[in-house]
Amino acid sequence: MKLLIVEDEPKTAAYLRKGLTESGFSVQVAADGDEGLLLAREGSFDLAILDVMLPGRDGWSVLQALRKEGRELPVLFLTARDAVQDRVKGLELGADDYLVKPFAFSELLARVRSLLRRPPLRASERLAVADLELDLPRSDARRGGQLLSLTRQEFLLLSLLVRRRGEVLSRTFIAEQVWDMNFDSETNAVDVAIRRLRRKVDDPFEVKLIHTVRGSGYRLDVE
Amino acid sequence: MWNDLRKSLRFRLAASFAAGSFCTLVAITGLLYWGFQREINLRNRLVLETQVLEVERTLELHPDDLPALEKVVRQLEALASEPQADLRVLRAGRLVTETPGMSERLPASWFVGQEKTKRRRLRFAMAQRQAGPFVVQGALDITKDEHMLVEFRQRATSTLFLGTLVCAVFGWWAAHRGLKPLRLITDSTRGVTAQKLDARIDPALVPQELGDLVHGLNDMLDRLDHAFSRLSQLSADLAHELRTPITNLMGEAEVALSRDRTVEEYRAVLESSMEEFRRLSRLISRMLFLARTEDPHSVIARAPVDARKLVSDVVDYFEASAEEQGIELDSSAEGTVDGDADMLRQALANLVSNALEATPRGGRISIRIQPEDGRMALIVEDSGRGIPPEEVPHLLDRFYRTHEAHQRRSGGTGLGLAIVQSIARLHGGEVRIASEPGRGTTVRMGIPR
Repeated sequence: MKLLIVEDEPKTAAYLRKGLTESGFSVQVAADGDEGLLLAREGSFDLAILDVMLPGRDGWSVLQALRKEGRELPVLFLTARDAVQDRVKGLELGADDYLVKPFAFSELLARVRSLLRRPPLRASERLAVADLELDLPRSDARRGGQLLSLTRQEFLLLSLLVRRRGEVLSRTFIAEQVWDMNFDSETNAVDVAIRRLRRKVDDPFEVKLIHTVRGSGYRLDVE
Repeated sequence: MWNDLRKSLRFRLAASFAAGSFCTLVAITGLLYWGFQREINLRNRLVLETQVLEVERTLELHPDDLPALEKVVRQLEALASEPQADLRVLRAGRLVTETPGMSERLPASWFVGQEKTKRRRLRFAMAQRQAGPFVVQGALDITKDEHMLVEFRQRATSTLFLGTLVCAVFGWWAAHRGLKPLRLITDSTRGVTAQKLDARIDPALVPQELGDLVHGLNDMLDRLDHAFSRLSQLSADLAHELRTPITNLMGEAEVALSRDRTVEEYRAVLESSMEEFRRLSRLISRMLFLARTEDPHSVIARAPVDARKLVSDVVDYFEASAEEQGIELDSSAEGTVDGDADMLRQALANLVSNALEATPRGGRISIRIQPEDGRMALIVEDSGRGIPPEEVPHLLDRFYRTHEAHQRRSGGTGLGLAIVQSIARLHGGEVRIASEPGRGTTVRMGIPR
């Protein structure tokens, strides 16, 4: 997957390149809007991460030019200003998503993956990690063949972790996906939910699947 | 120059003052002059007519007694010595008698149809009457009177200009004096800067007419002062909030870099940094949220939100935490709330999160949405520790933490309730808090329907 990053702040550009490359993406960086537009036209990118405030041509104008030329390249906006008008403007111009600085890298990664994701999983799909199996339509989860008794929220949380297997999911992202709480909450509700889920999914078993990534969030994988 | 002058209040006041007094003075002196002149003319004519009549009467009594006539004429001349009078009697165009030298001064022909005449420097008033075969002619030397009138005119004119000038100067001075309170206000306002907003103008020092202006200015200063001190308080608070995480970050990094360490140690430092960064990031996003909602132009997309769904979303989110803490969560909701679903959920979540912090094991938290006084009330009630009355008024302030929260070293940003308040305000509503130490706290968000 090829990503284009248009970001003039060198440190931001450097860590984005590093982080995304290490997450398996092939990354190219442009330091201003004109260069970004040029690259976006030439290269065959799967997604562009655009900063709004750029020297010369700003992010909006890059997006506008791309959309005018009929390019459907998904665009994720990075903005330092969390003004409603800015967001509305970005989305109206055809941005696919936006993130307000400061943001967590895991947050960015999750959104990038969401945008690149193949069409939604078919409802009949069954998911499995090691001996954990999820049956989505029937909403039941089994480990080692043994049925786990999960609440609806717990099942939603577990299926999110399983679908995003191997990715670090931030608390904010989890709260948004599972409970529709799309704001930065000061509570430990997510930690509590994970703790309870672990009691049912991990505690009785030898192999632990749910891992805490200190300072970032949670990750589900065989390790 | 002229435009500058025209804009000058002082000049305009002085000019209108001068114009007004000029008109008044012209009217008064004109009237006086007119009356004076008329009086003098009347008096002179009366003297003249009396003399002529007297001669006429003598002629009627003694038509042919020339000596008697001359005697009367001499007597009359003597009587009217000042101003000097001339008299002449003619009979069929021939001179009968006259004041000596009168023919040279005033020939008889001048008297036909004339009331006044002048000869060299002298002015005369004249009268002529027919008495049977006689014609009586009288003249009065009015040179002095005319001179007096000329002098009167000259004096009046100079008085007029001088008076106008004096009035203009006085008007200038009065305007200058009258504007003194304005200069006082100007001087006072000049001293006002962002750093020094406590200056006020004493209303006792200015005239009544400017009282409203001064009160208005003082009120404006009050509001600015309040807003500025809030702003500087906010910056101070914000800096204070940033101090702890940044101190931790700097210190940890410095210590970590001071010698070689194992990968695990570096990892631990980075992980600890992550926690601080999260805290900072949360602080920033909350400050941004508040700044956004305080923007007077900000509007929200309102739509009917199902109250039951709203409450059950929040309950779902906190159910597990409440259960872990041994707190009973109950809820009730009816109807719809007109508002932004995300924001309302955030407000409720902040309130429930506070309630969970304040409620000990075995307590109860109740979340309700119900119509109340024509509004929709979003209520979160806990049976927690409660808040001392003296702290309640500050709860909605940014960064305010209760004494109790300080002691628990709770990791909150102290912005939760401020956000609830700004969400309520965006919806045109308000937040009310009732608390009783030992009994619990009830927070009510009233949203207009």
